[in-house]
Amino acid sequence: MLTWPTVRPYLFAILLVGFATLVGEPLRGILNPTNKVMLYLAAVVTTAYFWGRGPSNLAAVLSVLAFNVFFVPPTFTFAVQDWEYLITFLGLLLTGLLVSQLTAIAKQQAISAQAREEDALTLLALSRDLAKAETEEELLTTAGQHLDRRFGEIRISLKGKGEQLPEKESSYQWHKLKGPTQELGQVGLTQPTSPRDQRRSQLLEAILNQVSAALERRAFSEKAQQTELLEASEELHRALLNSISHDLRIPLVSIRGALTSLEDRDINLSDEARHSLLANALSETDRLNRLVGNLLQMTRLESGHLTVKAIPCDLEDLIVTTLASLHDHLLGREVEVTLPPELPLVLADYVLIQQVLTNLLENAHKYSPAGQPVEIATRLLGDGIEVEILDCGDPLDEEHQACLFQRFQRGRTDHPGTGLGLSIAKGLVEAHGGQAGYRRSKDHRNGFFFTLSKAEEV
Amino acid sequence: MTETLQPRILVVDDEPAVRHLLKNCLGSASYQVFEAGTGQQAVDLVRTKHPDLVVLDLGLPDLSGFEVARILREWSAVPIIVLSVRNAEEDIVKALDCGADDYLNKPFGVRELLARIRAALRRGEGLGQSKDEIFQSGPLMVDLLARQVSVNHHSVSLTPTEYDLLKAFVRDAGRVLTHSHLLRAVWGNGFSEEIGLLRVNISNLRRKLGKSSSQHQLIVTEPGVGYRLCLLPPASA
Repeated sequence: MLTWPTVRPYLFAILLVGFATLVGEPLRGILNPTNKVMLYLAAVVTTAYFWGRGPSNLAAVLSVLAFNVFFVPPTFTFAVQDWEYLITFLGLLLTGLLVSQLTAIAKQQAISAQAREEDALTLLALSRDLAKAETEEELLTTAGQHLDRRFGEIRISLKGKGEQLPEKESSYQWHKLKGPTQELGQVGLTQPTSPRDQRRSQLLEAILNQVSAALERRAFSEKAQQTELLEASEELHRALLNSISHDLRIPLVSIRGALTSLEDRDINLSDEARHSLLANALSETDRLNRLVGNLLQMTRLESGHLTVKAIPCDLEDLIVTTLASLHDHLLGREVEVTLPPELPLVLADYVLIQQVLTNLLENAHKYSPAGQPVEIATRLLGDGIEVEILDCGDPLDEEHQACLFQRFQRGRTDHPGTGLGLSIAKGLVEAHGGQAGYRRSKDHRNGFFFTLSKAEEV
Repeated sequence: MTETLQPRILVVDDEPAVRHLLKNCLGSASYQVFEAGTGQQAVDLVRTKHPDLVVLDLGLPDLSGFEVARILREWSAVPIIVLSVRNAEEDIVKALDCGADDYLNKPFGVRELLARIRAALRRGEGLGQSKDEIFQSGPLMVDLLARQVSVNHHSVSLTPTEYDLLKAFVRDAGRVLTHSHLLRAVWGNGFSEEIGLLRVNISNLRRKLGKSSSQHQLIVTEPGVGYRLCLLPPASA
């Protein structure tokens, strides 16, 4: 079928040959006819350069005919007087055809070089954008955008990602996404490539390879990350289990020991020994109970299931009640309570702050020399109240201070404990919107403090 | 003591180990004990055996402890002491609101349980009778007729609200009273959420009744639940 775009170059070829003839016409008599051949050669080269091989071949043939008709005597006929002109014709024809070949090849190479550069740029941009993509979704969008520019509408479906492969949609041409180790999915294109267009297929293949590689890289790094997380959480569970099973068993040792010795009729216990055994077993059950309470609270904190019901509370009452519940545990250690006059009510979940106080007091009791008093000091701070538990324990080095409130960190491993107390205290205070921390006081005591906000005046 | 005079206690718990413990402890404290493992069984036993007191666990396999308390309260005034695990303050408040008389956290001390049972039984006996006009606990003495309060024989002047609050405690001495119960009893129905108001008055009341050692407070805070007026032996001084 003849269409305008295919016909036009030939038309230009004819026009150029005509133009060369027109330019040569006034020069009749000035130039030797053979030199006018140059004009025709120029027309052939120009045609070859702009419109390629076919039109320039036509130009070469037309040039020979026009030269013969217009410039070789007898003019305006195809007849030739001088047979030497046949050599000129042959030369013109051969040169014209050759030039048209060479020019067309050069042109073709220039075009394909340009196209190759374009492809290279496309691939470069693609690899840059793929590297930037963080999620699989972003990655697919990027791939889609780059394919979109060249291959029409895109559909990408990944294996095992839910979307069924719409095989029957004939409007798409499907290409496999092959990773280095496995098939990853398929890409459907609406503007298909034909096997004849090698460059396009090569580009497509290169793009698909890059996308597959990026996808697989991403999958690998995800897997590596998951493995790492899993290992970390396994580590945590191991630590937790080790620590807990140990701490659960220690109180059971005393309890079981006391019970078995009481049960055994052969063991003659003095009243004093009996009493001491029982008292010990009793205090161990309290310890066990507090441990379980701490574990439960930690689980709630971790899972985010902790609800803080902050209501106005009397801090003095809170402290007194906590001390009463810890009375047996503190083994007669003196606890001083300093309260400012007119202490306002604080906003707190009574039970949770009681646990904070319990944990901090237990900590102070555990890590300070026996017989030295512990102080609970409260201070008004702007719109809040600070509670500080001070003990006469040894100063903490910086390394200890840094991990003081982390889980499973214990000040000294020669003391029983899970290393949960302080981390739970901090977690509970923070759940109230307060702050918890450690400082060495001016009079060289260890101070563990936390803040609570004041309740509105009633 | 003949068998008929032994107070009869129904123990409701789904854990056989706990039932066993309670049966032994209460049995040796000369109570007659029945056991129920489920809520329905508990309701049936109260209907047929008319126990003098029920010790009720909240976590039962069929009916919850709340439901049991609610059902019993429809036709029975039997004192109910709830046993609950720690960290379940809301449940305790709910159970008390459902009609339970008192609660004890698991794990519990048997001595504490026996004290609660005695107090509850005493209240049960006194039901319907006129209350003593003079109430005494430790250093505290309240003359309900003369509206006079004294601590260690020194007269204490209370505001009308503080007196009403103290009266509410005296009426149910030894028993835990929830925040909302106290607020309703003293301020009226519209105030059952004003816990701050209650805290301020409790704090003032405590101050006026004198600081006692942390071991023997008169008005004890039951964390997350409410308050309790302790029954202490009268001060000899």
